[in-house]
Order: sequence, then C-alpha cells, then structure tokens
Amino acid sequence: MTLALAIALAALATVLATVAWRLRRERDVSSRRIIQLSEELERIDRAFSLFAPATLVDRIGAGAPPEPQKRDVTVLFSDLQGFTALSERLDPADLVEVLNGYFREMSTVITTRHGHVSKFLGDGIMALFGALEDNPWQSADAVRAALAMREATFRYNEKLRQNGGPELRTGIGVHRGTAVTGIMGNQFLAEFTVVGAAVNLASRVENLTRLHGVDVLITEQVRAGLDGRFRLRELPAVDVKGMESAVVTFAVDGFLAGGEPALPSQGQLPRAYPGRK
Amino acid sequence: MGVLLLNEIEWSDPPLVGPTDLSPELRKYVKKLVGGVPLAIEYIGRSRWIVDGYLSVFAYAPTALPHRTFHLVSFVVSQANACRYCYGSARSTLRIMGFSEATVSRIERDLQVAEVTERDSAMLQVLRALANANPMPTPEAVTRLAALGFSPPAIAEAIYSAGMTCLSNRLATCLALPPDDAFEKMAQNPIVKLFRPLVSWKMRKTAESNVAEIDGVPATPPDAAFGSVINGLGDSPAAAFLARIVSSCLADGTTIPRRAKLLMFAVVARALASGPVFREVHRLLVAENLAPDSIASIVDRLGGDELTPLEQKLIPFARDTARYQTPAMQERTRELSALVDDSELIEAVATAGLANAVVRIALLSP
Repeated sequence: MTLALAIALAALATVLATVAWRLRRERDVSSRRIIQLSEELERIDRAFSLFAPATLVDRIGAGAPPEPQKRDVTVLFSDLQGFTALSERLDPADLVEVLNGYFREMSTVITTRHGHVSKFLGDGIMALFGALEDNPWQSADAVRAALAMREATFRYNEKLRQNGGPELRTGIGVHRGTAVTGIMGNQFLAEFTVVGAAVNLASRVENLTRLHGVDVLITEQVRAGLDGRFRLRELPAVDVKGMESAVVTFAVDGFLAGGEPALPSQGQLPRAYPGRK
Repeated sequence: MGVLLLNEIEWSDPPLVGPTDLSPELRKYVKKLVGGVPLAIEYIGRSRWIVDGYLSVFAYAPTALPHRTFHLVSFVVSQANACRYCYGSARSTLRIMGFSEATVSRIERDLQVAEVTERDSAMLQVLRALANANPMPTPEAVTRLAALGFSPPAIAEAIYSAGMTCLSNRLATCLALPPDDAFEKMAQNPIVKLFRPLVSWKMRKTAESNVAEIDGVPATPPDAAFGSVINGLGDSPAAAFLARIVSSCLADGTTIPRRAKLLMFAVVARALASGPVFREVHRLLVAENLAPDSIASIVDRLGGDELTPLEQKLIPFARDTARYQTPAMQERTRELSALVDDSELIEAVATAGLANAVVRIALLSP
C-alpha cells in the first residue's frame, strides 16, 4: 500500500516535473522568439527610416500617421546643374558614389536646420520646412539651410577635387505657401509629401537660378518671413508657367555684415574640439 | 527612428566642460540629497539651482506613483531622448531597484513584460510622446491617463518625472558628459547585488527625507513665476520641488540675467506651441519692461537690436533644444561654447533644459 502510494507520488512528481520543464522550455522559446521579432522590427524600423523622416516613422509606428491637411510650408528644391552631361562621362559606380556622398552631406545640413528631405529626384532634392510640425521660423530655416548647402557643396567639391572627381554646382529655389501635406501613394508605394501650387512654384524658382545666373533664389513669400539678417538682391520679375503674374525673386548672397547668425556656421568650426577646463 | 539601445547612441567626445572643484558645502548638500555625488555633478555643479534641477528626479520620492514606476518613466524618457549618460544611469538605477537584466532589456525594446502592467505601459507611451514633442501631446493625453485609472497626483508625478528628465537629459547631452561608468557598473557588483534591497531602500529613504523637508512649504501663489504651471501639479510635493528650482533659476542672475532666461523660455514655448507657458513668460517679460511688440519681434526673428550680446547668442540656441536630436544638439552646443564661457554655457543649457521641462509639465495647466 505504502509502496503503491510512493510509486503514485513519484509518478505524479515526474509528470509535474515534465510539465513544468516543458512549460519552462516553451516560455524560453517564446521569449527568444519575441526578442528575435523585436530585433527584426528594429531592423525594419531602421530600413524604413532610410525612406522617410524619423519623426514620421515614429508616428506611423505609434499608429498615429499625420492626417492630410493644408499647412503653411516652405519648400526647397535643389538641383545639380550640368549633372546630366556629367553622368554620361562618369563610370556608373563613381556616379552613384559621388551622388550618394552629396545627398548625405545635404541631408545632414537640411536636418540640422529643422527641415526634412521629402524626396530625391534624380540629382535633385526636395526638402520641406514646417510640414511635419508647426515651425514659425521656417523661412529663415530654409534660407539658412540653402546657404549651408552652398557651403557644404563647396567643401564636398574640395574633397572630390582631391580624389580627381568632378565639380558640382547647385541651384536652389525656395518658396513658402499653403500646400496639402499627407501620406500619398498606393498600397505598394507611398510617401509623406506635399502637393499644391506652392510646390510647383518652388520647383520653377529653382529653374530660374539658371536664368538669373545665381545659386540660391527665394520668392517674396519667403523674404517676408526673414529676419533682416540676410543679404538679398531683388531680380527682375519673370513670367513663370502656371502663374498669372510675373514672379519676383531674390538672390541670397549671404548674411549681412554684422548680421550673421549668433552661432557660427558649420564650416567655421574645427572638427576636433579641445576639452575645456 | 524608434528608440536606440545604449550601445547605439552616437555620443560626442570630449565633454564641453571639464570637471570643476565642488565646494565642500555643495558636495555635502548633494550627498544629503542623493547619498553620493554623481559624476555629472562634478561637471555641472556650479550653482545650486542647476544641481537641484539635475537631481530633481533622483532626489524625489513619489507619494502617489510607485517608486519603481517613477524611475521607469525617467529611464524610458532618457532612452527616447538618446541621452547616453542618463540612459546608462537610469538603467543602473532600475537594476538596483530590483528589475532583472532580462526585464530591463525587454523594457528598452518596448516589449510587454510581467513587471510592467499594461496600464503602466500605456502611460509610458504617452510620456515618451511628451518627451519627443513631435507633436506635443494635447491635454487629452492627461484625460487618457486618468481613464487608465491613474489618480491626478500619480499623473502629476509621472509628468514631473518625464519633464524633469528632459532637463537632466539636456544637461548631459548638450555638454556631452562622459557616461558614469562607476555607477553603471555598480549594478553588476556582486556585493551590491547581494545588498540590492538594502541599497534600494536607502535610496528611497534618502529621497523621502527630501520630500519630508518640503512638507509644509506654502503652495505657490498663482501670480508667482510660472505659478499656473507649478500649480498644475496639484497637491503633489513635486509642485514644491519645481517651484524651488524655477524661482532659484530666475532669481540667480549672476551668470545669465533673468531677462535672458525668460527670453529662452519664450522661445522654447513658441517652438513647442505651448500657449500657457508663452502667456506666462510674456507677462513676466512685460514686467521686465520689455514691450509686447519687442517680445513678439524677438521671438519671431530669434534676435533683435534691443538684445544684449549674450541674449543674441542664447536665443537661437534655446530654439535648438526644443526637439531632441542628440548629434545636432551637441553640435549646436559646441558652436555656442565658442562664444560664451563655461559658466555661461552650463547655465544656458540648464535654463533651456528647465524651459523644456516647464513646457512639458504645462500639459497639466488649465
């Protein structure tokens, strides 16, 4: 009787131990799987961030993508002048390397001045200021970004020259106006972007840089939002496709003497900073 | 781009300021507040209000929110802000408080863990959004927290923890403070592991004595500087903590004058579209004899002829601290460091950090 009870208890203990062991193993497997899935999600998140601004990725991830809306935005278009001819001369691998290096430099400059790159258009860039969040200083941010892009292109050209690369020349057009922002596309391909007359005009203004022989051009709507620290030059009004009246633009030559921003521009700073006591 | 893990954060080196010789009084004061002297204090400990601001979470013992949840908020915000220094320290604090390495590791990957209830997890999401301010949560976020079952004092303490962590994160990030290796390794120390409950208990008791000390401090009058924001914290002792930091920041004009500090607050409030804080700072600036038109023009232009040379340097900087981008903020601060001395630099970063904290805590303001 006692032996039978002991055997029964031993059997029960064995069964319980087996169940506990299995449960523990299943928990460990689930746990590892969750970690794997989490890592996979992080990789997707990072990959996704290559195609959209980080803020946007975060919002979509949180289940709160930006609603379509009309917003006051500043649109910056830039283009590499003469790049088509250059692309025919360069080896494809060199071309991609030159272009990717340029996009990397420009994206950093735009992002640190509170803009975001909406898209790369061949050798061109479309950047937005005030599209994802309210930005009362969007005009100044966009013009500062344009000037910093000029400076960054200069630095990048120096680097290219040292390696026997080509010289790049940019044309930048900036316009501010109301546009519709939102995620646009289909179920296979979509992007956060802006549409409207303001976007078309910004693109046309960039085209005018060739006509006027300048590299940074802004419209009256951008000029109105500036703080008087920029050296501007009014240029003759020009008829522009799709616009009822001729468009007045201003070349941005730089910062006014004594009116430089309080902070020095990137290029003025040493790359290695000494620690200070 | 989601959240980064400790080893993924880009961190500038070397720090912008060197360690300073702390006065024996200040050293004693810090030890009394938190039981030891954190490495960051060796770098930033130049004025009392900055020390109080930096330690405002660590030195506080919540009365309505569980102690561990209060520090969990700080951890999650530090991670969201990718502040290498604070993230490492907050991680170590959680380990000392008894969270296992596996649990902390799962929390930082934003996974559901048994130790964090679904309710707390939902609260952490709201507070992450508050720290990111992209966009700033609306007051409905507070309603959502209440609907989850959090009492008003618990919500106040959670928002205080998130807001004030934004201040300490900015101090450590902008100045690129080196990670506190000794504290980070402390949680792994076998002796500390053995006595973890005791260490955790001691930390809590020290913080509780700080809270007990302010018991009986009269409520902040509504017309005091940022009174409406402070009173948004209700009866929580956090209100007295914040009131002390705000009033001593604005009273201490030796390094950066009060008007310059208020203008920095105005710019941060404008950048984050905070009506309550902007209205309040506008009132305070008018009391400083700055005309409403001038205030509008300065904030619109991030500059102006009526500004002092120091104000001209600080105002654009304040704007760049409103939304967190670690490399960009560190670069901007390095640029500023070329224009001001170390004391001004630390005070400027602390003021911008406090402005960011106040704007976020103002979520509770009517």
